[in-house]
Amino acid sequence: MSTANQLSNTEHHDEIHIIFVGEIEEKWREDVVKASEIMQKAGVSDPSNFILEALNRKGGDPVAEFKPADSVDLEEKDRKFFRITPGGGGRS
Amino acid sequence: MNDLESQLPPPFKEALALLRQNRDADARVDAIDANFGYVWINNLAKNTDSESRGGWIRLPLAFPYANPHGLVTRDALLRSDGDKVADAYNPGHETCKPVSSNGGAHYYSWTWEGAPALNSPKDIVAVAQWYERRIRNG
Repeated sequence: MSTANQLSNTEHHDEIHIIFVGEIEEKWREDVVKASEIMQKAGVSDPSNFILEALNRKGGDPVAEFKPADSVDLEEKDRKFFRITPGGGGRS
Repeated sequence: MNDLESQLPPPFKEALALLRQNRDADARVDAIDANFGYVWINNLAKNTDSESRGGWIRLPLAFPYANPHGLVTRDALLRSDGDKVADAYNPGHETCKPVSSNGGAHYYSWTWEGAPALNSPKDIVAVAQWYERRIRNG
């Protein structure tokens, strides 16, 4: 791999990703971000038991879900609008 | 507000108002039984286009100081592959009776165990989303 290619995999892009978690706008310079970081930036102090859901449009239906430790590629389709949903749950 | 809703504790009423404001203007309480309100959410998402949206979430009258428990639907829930959702599925369960005249016939005995603590009436919107996730992962 050339030095130029090695750099392209590690450098940040100039593009800033603007996403929305509910009504909250977030700006990320990185292409790939941990779901926990997105949730914390939206105000969830302890995201360990929450799920980040990617929506197909603002206020739309979930098309993907991410646990806190999952990475979210903001360059993928349908990665602009999100919502935070409680995780967990049992049955009786 | 119908007669049932006039009986609800203030935090529950507040939650219902927030649900209508932020999620579903047509949300309503269709029954109260065993300290639970049966809250119809008209736009509760399902997994397939063939299914009608909506269902009754069982919300404790003490909400948000007690946890939701169970979902009642008119039709059996389907997974995205077309098979029935099998997670804690109880067809024709007696828990459906309070809304059987409205078509409620399928009970999913899902509990809040392991989910984050609820502490505000505004958590009702997240509760609705949690039910949609249970349906999706069923």
